[in-house]
Amino acid sequence: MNKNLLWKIHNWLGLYTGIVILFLSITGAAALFRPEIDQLLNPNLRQVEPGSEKASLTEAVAKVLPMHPNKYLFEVEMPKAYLDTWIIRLMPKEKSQLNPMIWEVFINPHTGEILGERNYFKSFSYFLRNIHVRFYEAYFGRQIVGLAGIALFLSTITGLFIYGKFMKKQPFGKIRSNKLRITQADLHKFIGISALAFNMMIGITGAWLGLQSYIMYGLDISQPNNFSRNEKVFTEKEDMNYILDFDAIYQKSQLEFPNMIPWFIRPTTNGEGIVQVLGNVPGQAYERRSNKLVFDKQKQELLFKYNISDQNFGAKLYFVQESFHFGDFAGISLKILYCLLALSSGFLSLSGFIIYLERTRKSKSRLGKTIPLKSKLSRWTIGILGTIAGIAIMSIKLGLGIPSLLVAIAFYGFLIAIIIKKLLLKTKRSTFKNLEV
Amino acid sequence: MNTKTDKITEHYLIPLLLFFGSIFFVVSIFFWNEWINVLTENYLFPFYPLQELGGRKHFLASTSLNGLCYLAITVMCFVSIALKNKAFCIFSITLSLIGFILLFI
Repeated sequence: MNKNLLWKIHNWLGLYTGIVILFLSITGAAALFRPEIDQLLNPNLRQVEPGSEKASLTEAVAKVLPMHPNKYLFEVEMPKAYLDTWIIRLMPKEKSQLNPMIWEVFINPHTGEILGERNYFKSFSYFLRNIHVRFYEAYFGRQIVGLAGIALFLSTITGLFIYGKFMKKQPFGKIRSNKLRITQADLHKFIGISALAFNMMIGITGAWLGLQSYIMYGLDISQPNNFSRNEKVFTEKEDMNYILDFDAIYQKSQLEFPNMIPWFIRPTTNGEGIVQVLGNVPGQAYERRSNKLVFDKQKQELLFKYNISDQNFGAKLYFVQESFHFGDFAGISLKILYCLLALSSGFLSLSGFIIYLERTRKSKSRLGKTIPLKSKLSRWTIGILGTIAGIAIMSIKLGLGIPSLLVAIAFYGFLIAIIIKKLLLKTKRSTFKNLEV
Repeated sequence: MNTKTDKITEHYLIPLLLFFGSIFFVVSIFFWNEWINVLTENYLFPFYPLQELGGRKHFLASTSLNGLCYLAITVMCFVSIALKNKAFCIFSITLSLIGFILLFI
């Protein structure tokens, strides 16, 4: 392919999607540390003194449910790294569009004591996830992030193909410091080529995670570990109110799948009368919920076992997307590495933008349109960080519904305003041309 | 003084080594993390069930061996980049390809 065309594509992608990639890089770098940040902000909810005593999970659930008669049990999260407690998650029986809720009750697994409660959608941890995964925009945010993933992948690939053309006789690692544009270009090339594998992986997995529902629907792919019962053994109300022996299910899961560390126990509420135990197996880099056991609620019989190690390449590929994207398979050391690489992706957007501004400075100064680089960058930085901080405050104070609606209005309003501005400018120019003729 | 740039090394072998080096660095961190998790857990109340994976001793031995092998390849990749020696780069890439294939077996 023509290298000039590749450069144009690289340039165009960087110019129009660079700001989105920069935003996602910053939020992604922070979102990596969600459990650690949540533990730091809420040690009273997530940390307990270690002990050998074990409380009954069944009794804990039985104690919590009557305290929330308007909610039903969604799942129980088990202790793991950065979480010493049980989290009992409840959902409201009457769902509200403006005030959606996942209610979390934190229990000490040694004493059964309730440590605290909160609406998950008002936690800083949820804000970090939602701002990265969907820009806090509930309608098409996830898909827009998916498209940014495609842009990052294409930008990385085109950058790789034009790398040689721009290196010419320059050796790898030599940074020239005579001009800002040259220095930034050298840094852009070296950091870009060093983070090649990371950016390709983030681009592919980001595109998949963002557009997953559409791709799966289009290609008729179902979730590999999906299990559902054809017949309904309960009414929805009976299923929702069924008193489940969580301790017995937990013990059964250890017998049926000794290698699996249960992470979630999730009973159905749609009448199927089943309970799912999702978990992780040591030595695997797959999504932590890929392994699964399904039991009958009444008889506690095993209905389905899903061990990712026994599955085909397609299923394994499916379950590495999330863990690879969020660096959630090798502890804090990998997260620190991912954070540095994510920030380097953000730097690539920024340096690309500086190169573009410096390259077009002469032609713009002739037209009298230049704004000093420092002030332009300061404005954008303040704008991005201000937006993130504003959404964070709204999210923590108001929960998901209203901020999400406001972000959607602001986001699409901004887009419409830009389109109208461009159209007006175009009409103005053509009117001037006609008058001149 | 030889100032000629070896384009094959600079434009092709180094990017390839950076690609493999970064992957193997992540792989070695993964094995290190698995190893340290099991090594430092309380053996009286073990959190990691390893019965079907050959037991604690076997798991520690295999993760440490894998981790060290991939760390060695990572170091080789980055040393090759620093030295910019074509023959050494090709050798490291060959080794990296073997390591990469072994990841999927």
